Amino acid sequence: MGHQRLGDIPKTQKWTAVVERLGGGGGGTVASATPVASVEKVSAEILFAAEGGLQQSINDRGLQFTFYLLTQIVLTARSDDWTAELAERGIRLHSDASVFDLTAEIQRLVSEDARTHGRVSTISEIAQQAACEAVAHLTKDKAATLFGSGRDELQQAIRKLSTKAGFSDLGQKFFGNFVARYLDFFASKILPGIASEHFRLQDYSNFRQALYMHCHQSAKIVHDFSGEWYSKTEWEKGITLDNSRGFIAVALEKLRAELKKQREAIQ
Amino acid sequence: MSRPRLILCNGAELPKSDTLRGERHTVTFSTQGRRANVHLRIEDIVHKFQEQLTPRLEDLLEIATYVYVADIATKRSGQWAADESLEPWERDHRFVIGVRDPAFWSQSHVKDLLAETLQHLADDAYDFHFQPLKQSKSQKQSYFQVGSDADWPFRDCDRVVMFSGGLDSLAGIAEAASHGENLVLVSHRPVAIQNSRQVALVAHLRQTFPQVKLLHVPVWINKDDSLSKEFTQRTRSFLYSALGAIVAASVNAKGVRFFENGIVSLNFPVSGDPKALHDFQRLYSLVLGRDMVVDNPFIFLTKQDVVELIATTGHPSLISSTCSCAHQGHFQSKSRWHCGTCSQCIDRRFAILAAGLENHDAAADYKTDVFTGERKEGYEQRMGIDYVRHGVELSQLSSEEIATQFHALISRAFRYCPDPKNAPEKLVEMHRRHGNAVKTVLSKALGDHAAAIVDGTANTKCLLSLVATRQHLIASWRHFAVLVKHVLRRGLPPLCQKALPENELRLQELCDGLLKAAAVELVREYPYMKWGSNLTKPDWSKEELLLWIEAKYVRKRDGLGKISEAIAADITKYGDSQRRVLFFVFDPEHVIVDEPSFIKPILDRDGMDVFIVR
Repeated sequence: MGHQRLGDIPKTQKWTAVVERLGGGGGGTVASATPVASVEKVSAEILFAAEGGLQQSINDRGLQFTFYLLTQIVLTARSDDWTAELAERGIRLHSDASVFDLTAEIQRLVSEDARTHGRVSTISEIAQQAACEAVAHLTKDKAATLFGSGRDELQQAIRKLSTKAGFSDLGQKFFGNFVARYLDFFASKILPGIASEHFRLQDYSNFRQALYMHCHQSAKIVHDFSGEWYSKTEWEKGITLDNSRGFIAVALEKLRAELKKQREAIQ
Repeated sequence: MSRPRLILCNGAELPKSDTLRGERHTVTFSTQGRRANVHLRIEDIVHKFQEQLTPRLEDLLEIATYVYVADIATKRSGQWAADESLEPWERDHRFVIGVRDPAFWSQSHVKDLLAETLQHLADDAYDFHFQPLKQSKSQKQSYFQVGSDADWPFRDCDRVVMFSGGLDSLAGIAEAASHGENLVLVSHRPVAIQNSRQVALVAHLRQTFPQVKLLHVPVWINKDDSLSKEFTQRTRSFLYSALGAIVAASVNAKGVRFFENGIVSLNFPVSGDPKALHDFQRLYSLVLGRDMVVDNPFIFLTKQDVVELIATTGHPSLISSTCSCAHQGHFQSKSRWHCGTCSQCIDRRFAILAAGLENHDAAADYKTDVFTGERKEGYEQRMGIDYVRHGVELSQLSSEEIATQFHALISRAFRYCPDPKNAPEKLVEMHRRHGNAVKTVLSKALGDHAAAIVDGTANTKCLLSLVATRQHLIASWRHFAVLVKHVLRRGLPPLCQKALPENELRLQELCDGLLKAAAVELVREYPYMKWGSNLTKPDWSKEELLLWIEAKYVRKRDGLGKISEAIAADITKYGDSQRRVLFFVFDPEHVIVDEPSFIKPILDRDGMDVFIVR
């Protein structure tokens, strides 16, 4: 869903080899083994090929700003006057605001920031989607409902993410979503084109579900690290956009290395 | 990304040393003179209303036209960055445009809003600079005034309606007409064939609703063929809405109305998503100096809902006069209006079948049958698979799951929808309805063509074949081979992590243990087969499937050549014995560098398969 980007994967040697390895060779097709084995291989192949983009995403202003906003939203949820604290950061929530209002504000601010500092990039879009999904997922169990909750219930739900443990969950969810959507960006261009008698629609759907699960599980590597960084940094010097950048770089590198290790294990 | 552009329009000039030039690639667009490469017939509007447009409205139309032409003339291409992993999607456009009302357009809040609107639509960077127009115009400038005839049926109408000739705009028009509303319909005419179909539909509408007055304002806007490079056309809705705003100004209407179902509006917007319409509303209100509403009352409807709405007007026969195809004018067919492969054709067909109105939409009107026609690899297959996958996945998700997974999309749109408080829930439910409709239609189509799928006569590249598993057509031995591969791929690497097997015999023993532990029934070293003067036997066999399995161990010290020779010999021997063979190659030292070349000769043989484990 969302504005589709309909470009094809580049027809270069590198990507052609990825397509061939995924599409049917001795290495097997997407559906030639159980979904877990397949998704490990597919995500590893794509990550290997798309590593450059993931490394460069560390420098993406949109990703940095999105993550920074997440830290500020959860931190301010501890205060007695959340509305005022959020307003200082440019986020406006009315009294019957739902989680949709909150995530709409995140996206508005990221877009405004992009106009000031450049333009909205693909990485920024992916980061926003990852952040929105992470917030929605983690608050839905804590808020009365995704629809119709007010600002007070929303604050209570977000406040639970403001602890070390809560932010650990948020960090894992955010980075897991981010990498899954990044890999899916390529998978969605490659997989529908693989014409194999073993690969059909339901395989593709199963694969996508497995991809998200796989990335979320792999992101466990940053779970504790996220909470420790959040707690320590806020206590010592306060979380800023600058130190958020440093954290993102380390977190993504950890996750990238974890996925790379898995690739090596299955080869 | 493609090189940033400097786009000079309407005779605008910049000295060579001007800092606005930067390192940008300069292009020039003009609607006038010998070098005109953009063709815009303002007289289409002028003729209808017999008055000139105001200078500012004429500027708006030209700005929107130039933005659109720049969009389709600038390919989203170039080298993928970051070692081929960052798509060159975004573009950077700097416009310098000659306008009649530079004082207005040069205001920072106007330029900012224009840039913000387009950035949201197109994901590109926009920057605008305006100069006084230097080009002379043949028409004498005079300001437009609404006609003094108080009885003119279109005076002060509520909205002008954007009319594409497709199902959605038909539904809106038919519903309004059935309530007796006089309507002004505005169309963009890029190609002659689209125009003729729109004209025919308007005639059909007039015939169907004789008591209602319909004013059709089609406007020609096109460009030199050499400028057609990019097909995404994200800014088309800006041009389209600008046309609507100008006509709305001409008839003193309160606003512009689009009719577009919510699924398309949020996911593949042609007219603009809810935020885009909100931005248009702000912009045109500024331009006109009064409130101008731009809305879409179908935002909570699926395409099936829209088609059913047409039926409720009592005139479903109007459907056959509509055209939804994105490729109108681009595929050759005398009698058929729909290509059958674009997303719009697929969506149309699914919606009509879901609404049970297929009597008004002949399958023969589609050049490629949506369900059984062959789809070319690439765009056509991807479009079909993605459409169906999206729908089927939606049908399997709960409302909460949809609200979570697609949260960013919904949260970006809901506050610009009617009834924002309940909009998220309505948007989620709309997506569920859409998913259920896709699944229902697909299930029926599969049922209708079950015989062809069962006996394998259905085209292998049609949508139904791409959807159906066709597992029953895959030989049992291949199913079994999948199982063997899975067991050895999962089990062997961790087993050999500390120490590699000393030789091939040891490798076979390890594999045998894994297979037995997984209860994979195979017989070891059986049967014996005479070949020439020798007896040979496979490492494993499953005779009931006529399947033999051979393990090969590639070591650096032995070299790849030895293994290749052994495999070639086995292929000959076992092939002659009417057996299928699964070759399992253990390559822990990565001796095989060119995997595709290694496996190709094996896979080219009927009844042979190979997999490599490292």
